[in-house]
Amino acid sequence: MNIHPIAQTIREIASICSAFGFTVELGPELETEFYNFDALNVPKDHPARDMQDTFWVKTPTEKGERQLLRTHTSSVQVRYLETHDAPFRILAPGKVFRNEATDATHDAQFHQIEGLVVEPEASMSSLKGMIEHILKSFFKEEITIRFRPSFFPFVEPGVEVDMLFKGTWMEIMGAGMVHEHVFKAAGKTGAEKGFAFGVGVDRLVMLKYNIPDVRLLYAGDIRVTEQFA
Amino acid sequence: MKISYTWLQKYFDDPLPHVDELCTQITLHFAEIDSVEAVGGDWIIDVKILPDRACYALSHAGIAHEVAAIIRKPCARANAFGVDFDIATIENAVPPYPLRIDSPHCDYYTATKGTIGPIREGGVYDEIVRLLVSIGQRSINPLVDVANFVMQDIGQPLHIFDAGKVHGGITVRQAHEGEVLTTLDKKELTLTPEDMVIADDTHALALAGIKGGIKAESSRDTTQFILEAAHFDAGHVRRRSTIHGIKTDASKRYENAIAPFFAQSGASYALGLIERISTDVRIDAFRRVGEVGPTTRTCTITSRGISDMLGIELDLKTCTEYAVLLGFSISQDGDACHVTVPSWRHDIYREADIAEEIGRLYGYERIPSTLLSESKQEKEKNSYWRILEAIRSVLISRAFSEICTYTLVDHGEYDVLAAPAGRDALRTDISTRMKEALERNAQHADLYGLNRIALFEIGTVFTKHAGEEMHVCFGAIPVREKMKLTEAYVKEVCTELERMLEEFGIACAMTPALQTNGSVVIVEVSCSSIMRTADVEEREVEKLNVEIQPIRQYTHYSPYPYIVRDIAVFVPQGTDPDAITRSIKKHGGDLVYRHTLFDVFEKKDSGKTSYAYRIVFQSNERTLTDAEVEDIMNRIYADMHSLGYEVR
Repeated sequence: MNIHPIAQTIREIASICSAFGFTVELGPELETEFYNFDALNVPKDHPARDMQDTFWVKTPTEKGERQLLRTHTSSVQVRYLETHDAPFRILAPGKVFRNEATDATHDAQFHQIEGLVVEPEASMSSLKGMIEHILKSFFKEEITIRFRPSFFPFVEPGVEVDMLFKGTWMEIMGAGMVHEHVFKAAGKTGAEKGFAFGVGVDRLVMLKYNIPDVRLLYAGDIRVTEQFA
Repeated sequence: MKISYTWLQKYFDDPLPHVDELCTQITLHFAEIDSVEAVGGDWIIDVKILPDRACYALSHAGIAHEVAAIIRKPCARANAFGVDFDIATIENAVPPYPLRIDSPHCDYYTATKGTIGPIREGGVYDEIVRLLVSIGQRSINPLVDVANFVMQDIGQPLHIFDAGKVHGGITVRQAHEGEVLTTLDKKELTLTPEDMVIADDTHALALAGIKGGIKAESSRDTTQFILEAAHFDAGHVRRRSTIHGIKTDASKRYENAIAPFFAQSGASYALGLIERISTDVRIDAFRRVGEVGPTTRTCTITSRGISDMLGIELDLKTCTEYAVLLGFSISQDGDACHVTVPSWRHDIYREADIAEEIGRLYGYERIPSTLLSESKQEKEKNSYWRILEAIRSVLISRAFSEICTYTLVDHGEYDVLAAPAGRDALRTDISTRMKEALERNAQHADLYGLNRIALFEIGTVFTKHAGEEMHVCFGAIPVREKMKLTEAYVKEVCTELERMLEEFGIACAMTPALQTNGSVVIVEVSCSSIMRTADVEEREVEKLNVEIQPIRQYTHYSPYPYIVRDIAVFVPQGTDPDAITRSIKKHGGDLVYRHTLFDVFEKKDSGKTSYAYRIVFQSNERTLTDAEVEDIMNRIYADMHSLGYEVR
């Protein structure tokens, strides 16, 4: 009867982006250290590992690699790059996990959508245009965004994207130009050009549908799902 | 990094912009600001320094240089007090201090032995203490305060030993197995050869780069001191700091790879400050061991490369202007430009790094939005995601509502480390939580006028024999009698799914693992075979033009219990039951959450029709009492009687 607002949102964004030829790719939630960190330019013993709290899984893979629950959908970037040639445009939605204290805006599991565009047209300018277009079409109103200098190990330049929502600037996603290290980790030359963005789906859902607590999305409660009838 | 506005101002001869304007500029061109607090006549600004810039910006000097580039006014001095002393100038004028480096994790160490006299009243020392306290640091003693000030000012961690408690000279070495070090805060550490220590001839005096020991602790009475300014391997400091569970301002800077270059300027600055705060200062001995390494690094850029990355047209002249603002030197080489940066900028190695420096100073707000070219394709390739979405659509059309439950549960085949108890294993199925959800939700059925709770979830499960698998799980629990899900219906749904999958070219038997537990019916199926075939099938499908049904804004449900009452009324045949619902609304008002018509019955040969309503009463503010509800019902009955309707 009723679709979950998270699935609804993923469909909407996929639909908005399909006009630009984006396909939707999925990746594993139980990930190896390599795809979640090292390939994304987050080496062991580097303070950048502190940027996210990780759920490490006790058993290693058969090959002895450390496993974890992926902390972001960015892990799909290198997996896809390894097996596909540019140019391409993909979205990678899915569940991600952070070992953080839970409250009204944070839960141990949530959903993200990754966007990855690898082609000569990719630039900070076309990145801005794409993000604006997605948010405008999703919220169905004229929205203003701004880029703020920031840092993610797998993009350079890296920015936080803020959106002006109901009179306040709020952080809505991270984005940037794909780092050379990521291309090389996928077996490419490193001279490729691409941009990437990662947005928290739960955040978008809470803003659009006025949901006060993220944990309501995972409660399996019809008093929540029936609201969306 | 907490900085003081007045401390920052010391780097500039002209007044800085007002704190609000300054914070806006910093936010737009450099870093996020976590907080701004007015303290005394000062403002304390907490600048969020991320791992890329922690190599140079965990200091007032680093941030001052950023501000200088942003406001286009150069820094007037290299440190807050404009101390110009260079320790290298006295190196040959004093005896060498006995110093040895015996550890692979230390490549540069300077040791200065000196004497300090009485502190000058009302001078620089008072200002140093005031500035330290303003950013939340404690004042300990003049020597340690100077050391701490230098770290907060230019970023270099320093350590002070009481020379009277140091026997012989200083050796940087690995610890002995079982060697004990009592730290300054009286914590006893048992060390291993993995640890690096600063030691004298007899004892370990400090855990290198992390924490000082109590043995050679300085105090207000210390007159002879040894000043350490060194460089320790970032990875080593981070590992040992994590293992011992000790994180300090010093270890943070070392693990973020502060360059060896700063050790010498740190020692020089500290000694210069000691001389300003005290009379009778002497340098008694000095030694430096190791290499600082190259102080610059060069990378090459082209205006084409920078412009393409940013998506704006910038000529080489403009690019170089920004490089110069940041204190880099440039040399042109035809179409290219070699940019020389200080080697301690570990965030700058490639053209992309320079593009970021130029882009952020130019101002990202000035970069226009452009749209990528649209895609001409009408069809797209089949994909695993499309198929999962098709499964979702089938289940929704079959009146199942979607839920999403937790992956981390209390029991599973994969354990998760350091997770809260009860949420430390990966689920092996969805059915367990589905059953709980169905039973839990059955009690709320009346709120929504439901005869049956029917739910589904598409999500991952984890087993040792199959690894990570996507499963589809759907199930139902009846609320009213005879509303239990039949096997026939389940078969119907599965057949529909199988047919739909065939259209995608997938042959997959949705043989349900049917579970029946009393009235609960649950089906769980694995999508593994779908995934294996999905991306291989080169079929084309219609572009995803999902008919997005708009969904309403959420209003939070009431936490208070609801009360249900049924009412059945005979009205003359052909009469609209309007009067009944009007009465319900009139007397119930806001307390009526829902009323549902659940039965219509024509009594033979009576000329009357019976309408039966289920009324759900609930308040958003409190628990309703039976008495309140009885009262409302009585008024409704009274209305019905006055209209001549018979209440059953």
